[in-house]
Amino acid sequence: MALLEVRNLKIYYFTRAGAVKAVDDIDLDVEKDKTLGLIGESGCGKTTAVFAFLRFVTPPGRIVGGKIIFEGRDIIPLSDEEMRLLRGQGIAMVFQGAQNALNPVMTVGKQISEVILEHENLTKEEAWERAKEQLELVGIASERVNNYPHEFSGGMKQRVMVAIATACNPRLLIMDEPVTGLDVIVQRQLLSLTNTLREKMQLPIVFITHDLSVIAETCDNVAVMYAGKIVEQGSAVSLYKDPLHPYSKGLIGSYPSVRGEKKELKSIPGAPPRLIDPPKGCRFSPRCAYAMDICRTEEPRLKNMGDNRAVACHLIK
Amino acid sequence: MEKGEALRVENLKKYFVVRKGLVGRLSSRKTEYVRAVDDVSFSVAKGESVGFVGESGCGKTTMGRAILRLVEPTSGKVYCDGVDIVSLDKKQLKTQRRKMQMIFQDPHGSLNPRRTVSEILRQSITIHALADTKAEEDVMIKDTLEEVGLEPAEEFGARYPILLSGGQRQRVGVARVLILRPKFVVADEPISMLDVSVRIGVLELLLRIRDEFGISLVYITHDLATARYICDRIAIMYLGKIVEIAPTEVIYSNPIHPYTRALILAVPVPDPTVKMEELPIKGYVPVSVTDTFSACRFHPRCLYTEEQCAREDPPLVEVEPGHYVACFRAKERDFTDQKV
Amino acid sequence: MTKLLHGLSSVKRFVMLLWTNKMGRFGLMIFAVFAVIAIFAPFLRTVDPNATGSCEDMLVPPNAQFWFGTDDLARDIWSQLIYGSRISLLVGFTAATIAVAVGTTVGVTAGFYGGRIGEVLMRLVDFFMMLPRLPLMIILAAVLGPSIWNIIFVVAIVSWTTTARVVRSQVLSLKERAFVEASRCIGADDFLLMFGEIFPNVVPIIFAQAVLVVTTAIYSEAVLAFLGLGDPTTVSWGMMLHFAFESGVMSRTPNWIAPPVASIVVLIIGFTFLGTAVSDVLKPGYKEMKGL
Repeated sequence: MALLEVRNLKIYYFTRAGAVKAVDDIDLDVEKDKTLGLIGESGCGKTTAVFAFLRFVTPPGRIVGGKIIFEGRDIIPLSDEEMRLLRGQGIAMVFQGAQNALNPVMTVGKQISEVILEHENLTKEEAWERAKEQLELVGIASERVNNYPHEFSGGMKQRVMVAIATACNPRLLIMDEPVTGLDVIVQRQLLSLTNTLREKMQLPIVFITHDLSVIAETCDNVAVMYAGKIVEQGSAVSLYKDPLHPYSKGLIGSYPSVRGEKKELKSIPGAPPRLIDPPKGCRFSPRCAYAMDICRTEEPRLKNMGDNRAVACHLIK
Repeated sequence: MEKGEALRVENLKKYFVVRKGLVGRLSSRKTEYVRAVDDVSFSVAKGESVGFVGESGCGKTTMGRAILRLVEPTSGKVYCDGVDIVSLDKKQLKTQRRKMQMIFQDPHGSLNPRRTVSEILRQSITIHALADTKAEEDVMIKDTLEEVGLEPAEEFGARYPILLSGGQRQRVGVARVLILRPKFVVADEPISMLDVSVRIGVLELLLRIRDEFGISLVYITHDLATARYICDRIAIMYLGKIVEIAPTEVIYSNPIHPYTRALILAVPVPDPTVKMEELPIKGYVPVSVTDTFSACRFHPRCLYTEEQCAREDPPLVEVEPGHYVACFRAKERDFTDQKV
Repeated sequence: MTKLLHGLSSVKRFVMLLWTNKMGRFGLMIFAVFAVIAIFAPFLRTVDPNATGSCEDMLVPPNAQFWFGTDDLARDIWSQLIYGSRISLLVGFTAATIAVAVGTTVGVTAGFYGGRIGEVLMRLVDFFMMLPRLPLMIILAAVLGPSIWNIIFVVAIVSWTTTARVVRSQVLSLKERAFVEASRCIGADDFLLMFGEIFPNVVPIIFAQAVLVVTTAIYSEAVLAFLGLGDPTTVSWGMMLHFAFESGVMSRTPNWIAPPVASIVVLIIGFTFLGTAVSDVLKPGYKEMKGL
């Protein structure tokens, strides 16, 4: 059984102009020993979806349907108190732009130990020792436990966020665009850290980004999201070698590389649709070069192709 | 200034004075500077696009603004069409501005939300009196909108920026400068805030204005991967200096400066079978840079430093035709294979 | 001529847009009602509001002849109410216009130029803000004497400072925006930047401020008149309340007090709604976002 199973998840935002179908009936599986990358452009619903894993969906958004089964239990019907206990210890999250989430008037040691004391029955000294260990884990000298956030660079602050998120040994870590906006060398250091967490700590990670190359460096499995739906899923290797869905193909074809031959880049015409009124049938059909009549009328369901691959496209038999 | 040069920059410097509080001023009388741009020289040929790549704090954005005098250079010369624009007064500068333009990073913030697209374009025309009648202005606006791919022009012209997508707004930004037919354009991270599927379209547009209109590009970015597609030459910047400059493919196939090599190795590869290697670099970009050392800026992070690197600042030296590197060890063959 | 027609048609379109907004419709209706009342006062079954009468006609409760009854000098309350709207609206609008004009000028200059000019101007604003409003108004009105123009002046003096601060902070933040730098790059000079780029983005705030100041002005005029500092020869709603208070029979004549109080409250509410609607409608792209 997978660590996290999402079935038919639907999250809509109810605005005056209508319901925005941000996440529309998605299925996801996160295996205990694998990293799942969730890739999609802005507005595709990936952040909304993972917010639901922590029950962070706030009005006007609402989970309208589906199940999120973590360690065998559906977390949607849990009470607020049960959910609060789950956060941090069961499922933890590193947010986008997290460098700005640190409290500027508290030392990083205090911020880490705060989380530990909230969830575990330790003394202040013990929590402080754990905070130091956490800093070492993310590659920051433990002597810096008394420093304030402004004394760290952007990349280091991001690593402090990872230290806070992993402080209580969560069973699942979600990272929402953790390297967006960071310089490339700093980004590399953070990606190395992510891989350390994967390998040494055996921590399952859900990694959200819009950057295909980042996913290639860190994820075992990938799910591609477009306009609130999952269009393709599979192992990272198979996705890159042989993408099935036209959107995946387009994404991979639009990613430049610094190594090897300079390849021709192809852009995807058009723009992602507005989710208040998504196109009928397949949501990608208006931009798809291979669209057939059926694509415009009937929505393709995510079909399991076996061998850890699934795709939602009428072209694939 | 040679013929066929759109831009020549000589010894450009931009230093920012560090404001010190009362205690700081009492403890040290020396004024401290942040040397954002420190003695940068280069030239851009007509129709050429030169990339400036570096991480945050390397000075590339400040340099782009200094070239256009959006921020006043501390010293140095900037030649456009034979005229040193640093020495011009306000009135002369205004006429020169037509020849040197900028495309901004933020598609949302760079367009006045209370102006329609055609009003924004019209401002370019009226400031430089490029048309005699309103009808002429309308024709210029329509043609330019079509050039940048915003058709039907009448419909887009009447829209307010809030109703345009990010990619469309950047196209308006391009139209705004294209209408002036400048000699060169500084493009400051023009695609970094756009959705991935839209970026290539805008890159292709920039390439087209370079090829069809002969407008040179100074392309500023931190993204080595996309720079490969739009630049003829690339300059790598670190802490206010150019550390390496060469034709694009040479940078990717034969990078010499240790920083360039680290940058290229750091860019993630969209291929899961390629494993990430150890980077040949240590430490981090310094949080504050005000020391007035005269040494190689990179040496604290370099794995190959020698005694000379801590004493002197290496000049840019031509290592092979067209390939300049600022490193004392550049001419040693394979010095980066040696472990220190 | 075509420019005038073009201007008029944009005003018409603006009003029609306001009408589609729920709050705007309400505000417009209230404004229209009072505007009609003020303009067509003589035709609304009124008599000279200052005309006093004989003893039997004093303090008459509402009847067929005097719709709201009469006051202690046999003056028709209905007529006072109708004509009073003219004074209230006049004072309100004029004081607001002056206050907003002064505040905007100070705010834009201080924000755009900053430096020493900015500092001096903001200290000036601080000084005026420090003065307590009601006592200041009372003292000035008492010193200057009871006349409508003095009242307008006094109200304007205590109302311009908020606009100055709000406008300045808006200008400061706009100054840093990329589109201002973009215009500078194209070659716009300071004047064009200030009025072409920054000012149009400040207009919505100015309108919102103007409406708030109108409500404050109407209210302040009523307060000053009530306290006896107004012009006794011009009947305004505040004056009516002043006379009612002075007469000593205020507690027994709700027909005297209720109309002016209700009018003040309704007018203020109406303008507040209108102000909110105006600042919404002026946001660029409002029409398209609402699907009009």
